[in-house]
Amino acid sequence: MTVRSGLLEKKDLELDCDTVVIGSGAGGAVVATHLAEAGERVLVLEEGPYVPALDHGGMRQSESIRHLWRDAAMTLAVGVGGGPSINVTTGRAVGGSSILTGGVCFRIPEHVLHQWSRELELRDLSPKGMAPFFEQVERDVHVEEVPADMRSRGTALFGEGAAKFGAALKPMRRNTRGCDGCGRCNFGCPHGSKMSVDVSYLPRAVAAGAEIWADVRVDRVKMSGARATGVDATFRDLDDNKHRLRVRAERVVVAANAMYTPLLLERSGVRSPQLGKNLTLHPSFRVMARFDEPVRGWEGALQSAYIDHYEESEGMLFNSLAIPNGVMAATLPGFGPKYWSRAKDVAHLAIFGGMLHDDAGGEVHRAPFTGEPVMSYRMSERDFGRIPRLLRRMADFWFAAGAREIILPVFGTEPLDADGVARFPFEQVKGHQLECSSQHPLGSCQMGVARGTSVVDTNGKVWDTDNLYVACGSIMPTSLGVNPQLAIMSMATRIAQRMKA
Amino acid sequence: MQLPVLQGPPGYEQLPPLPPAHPDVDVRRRRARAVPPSVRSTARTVAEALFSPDGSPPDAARLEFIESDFGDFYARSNGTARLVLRLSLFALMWVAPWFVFRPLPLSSLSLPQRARALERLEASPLGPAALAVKAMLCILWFEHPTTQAETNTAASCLRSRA
Ligand SMILES: Cc1cc2nc3c(=O)[nH]c(=O)nc-3n(C[C@H](O)[C@H](O)[C@H](O)COP(=O)(O)OP(=O)(O)OC[C@H]3O[C@@H](n4cnc5c(N)ncnc54)[C@H](O)[C@@H]3O)c2cc1C
Ligand code: SF4
Repeated sequence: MTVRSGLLEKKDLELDCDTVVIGSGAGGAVVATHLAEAGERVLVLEEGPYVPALDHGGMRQSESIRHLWRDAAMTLAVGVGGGPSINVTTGRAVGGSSILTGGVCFRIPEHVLHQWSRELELRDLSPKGMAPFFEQVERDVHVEEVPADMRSRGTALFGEGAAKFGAALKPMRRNTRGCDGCGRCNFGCPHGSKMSVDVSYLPRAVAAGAEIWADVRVDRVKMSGARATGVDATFRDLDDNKHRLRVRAERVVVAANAMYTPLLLERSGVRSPQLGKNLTLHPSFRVMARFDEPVRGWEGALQSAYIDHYEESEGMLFNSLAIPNGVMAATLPGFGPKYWSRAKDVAHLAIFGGMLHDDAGGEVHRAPFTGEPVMSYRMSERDFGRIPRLLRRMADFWFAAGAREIILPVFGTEPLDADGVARFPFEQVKGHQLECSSQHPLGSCQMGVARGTSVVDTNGKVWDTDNLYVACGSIMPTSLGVNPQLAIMSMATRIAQRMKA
Repeated sequence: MQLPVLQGPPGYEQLPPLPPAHPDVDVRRRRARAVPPSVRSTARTVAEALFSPDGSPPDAARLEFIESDFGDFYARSNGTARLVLRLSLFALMWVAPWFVFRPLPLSSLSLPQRARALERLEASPLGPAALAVKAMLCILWFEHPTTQAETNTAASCLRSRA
């Protein structure tokens, strides 16, 4: 029993299976596990490398970024229409982005499920319809509540500040078991405590007979009329020679995430007016604060608490987080002695994130020469108008907690004290001045009840095909407003159940 | 709503984890691509200005480390990352000096002039280019044990410290 790698093969290959799953992340791993446990011969093809869970601790954070983050974390959704450009990060490894998460596990909020089941007529996706799938996934990945004593000092301080404005800090639910609070989940958990899919689902899939192939890139799904008959893939051996892998399969599941799935479908001949459209990103902004005391933000469960006080009314979610000290230092303005005098006190910096429940303003396109995805993102006026409120609110919370100064995600802006924030022209900040990030590309192959307005039907099957399915973040019918891995895993569980039925 | 904490399915804990990887596929031992010399030298030019503690360049051994590690990072990154880094380094080396009215390569400016030029570029619409390179350099700099000792930022876990 092993995880195979294209690198170790020396010639073209042909394989047969019942179901081939493209992508081993949050969606793909779940579908593969359920089908394998139901007795199917399952093949999982993953473009990225395989790094066993306990090997992550041997890598520096920058090594993880260069080897396991897609594009070394430098993918950009280009801002159009005056909105910000957004740095979109995803994983590229066995386990997909799941190995990089902060472990945060939110159920899809009820108001979102009501919208899906009532307005979008996705009747089965009601709170009641989805509850069994949430429960099953929570059990499978061991979702637990982070105790208050595992919060970093910075998180606790933000909570103290927010409480003065009537907003409660709530304990996060995370997929962990035996977390030590060393705040480096985004680079793979060094203790194997984070129950990412390479720790929770894929071992089950392999135990049930599934075969996982790393370092293999799927180029297209082979179609014969409405039937998917398998996939064509390529890999390189250790001497950098290119080879082909042809897979014959009874069913094909694409779970390559919201950036890659639409392009793969398009290359395979799927034609849908919605393909690649409706991309949502959950644009996120970090606000840092300097305290007189050292806060040592990395000490604690990486994402231990959140504030959803403004989620339903204003589409804002505040999440605790930790980023590498080097990245915190990089976002301080300046170069040279003045810069270094600030940067060397990085242990005094605390950070919190604010995320927008966005409208679908993004689109995935194919780059002309490379064929790689290029994303554009037109932030809606409503979302853009929310940014000043979001940033002001976070600044207020920090000052209420005793921060000396705050650092806004606005390029070239000096740290500001409370008076500086009061005078800061938030409303005049242009989109290109904003430093904005996303870890949640979703929705580019939406699920829906009609072929004209969606790419897949309510079972995750691509419209007008017999056996081609999608089961990753790309199928989300709208933005969620909360971190999506539990939602993706739950939808994938539901899709696998439908396939088995 | 108060949600329950659920335990894994029976027998789940007994499942073996995924097996170790074959040594030949270890990501850190894989073939790296060639790095143009200008990538390393520009990274060093910017690092000298960025981390200058007092107007003089930082310790030479640290600069060697960052130059070579930045090169390794570049060598292992693919299409988009390479393009972003390459364009950003170009902007820092050749465009930044124009912000202090010196149409010369950044490396030929004194450290204070370099810092001023880079600061002005950072505050301009080219700010993201400065951030891309600065973020990489800072991550690598803060991973060095000497920086961690200087800044009291060595990795530690909350639970084992408590
Ligand atoms: C840094 C970071 C932190 C995050 N933290 C959280 C969190 O705390 N909580 C949360 O809910 N969510 C979090 N997320 C988001 C979450 O991880 C993703 O939403 C989720 O994993 C997406 O699942 P997916 O199946 O759509 O895609 P992925 O998990 O990204 O998996 C897709 C896989 O497909 C592979 N692939 C793509 N194209 C091909 C191809 N042609 N051939 C073969 N393989 C291919 C990719 O390499 C990748 O491994 C985080 C994401 C990141 C990047
Ligand atoms: S905070 Fe917990 S889950 Fe995250 S890396 Fe540390 S031990 Fe692992």
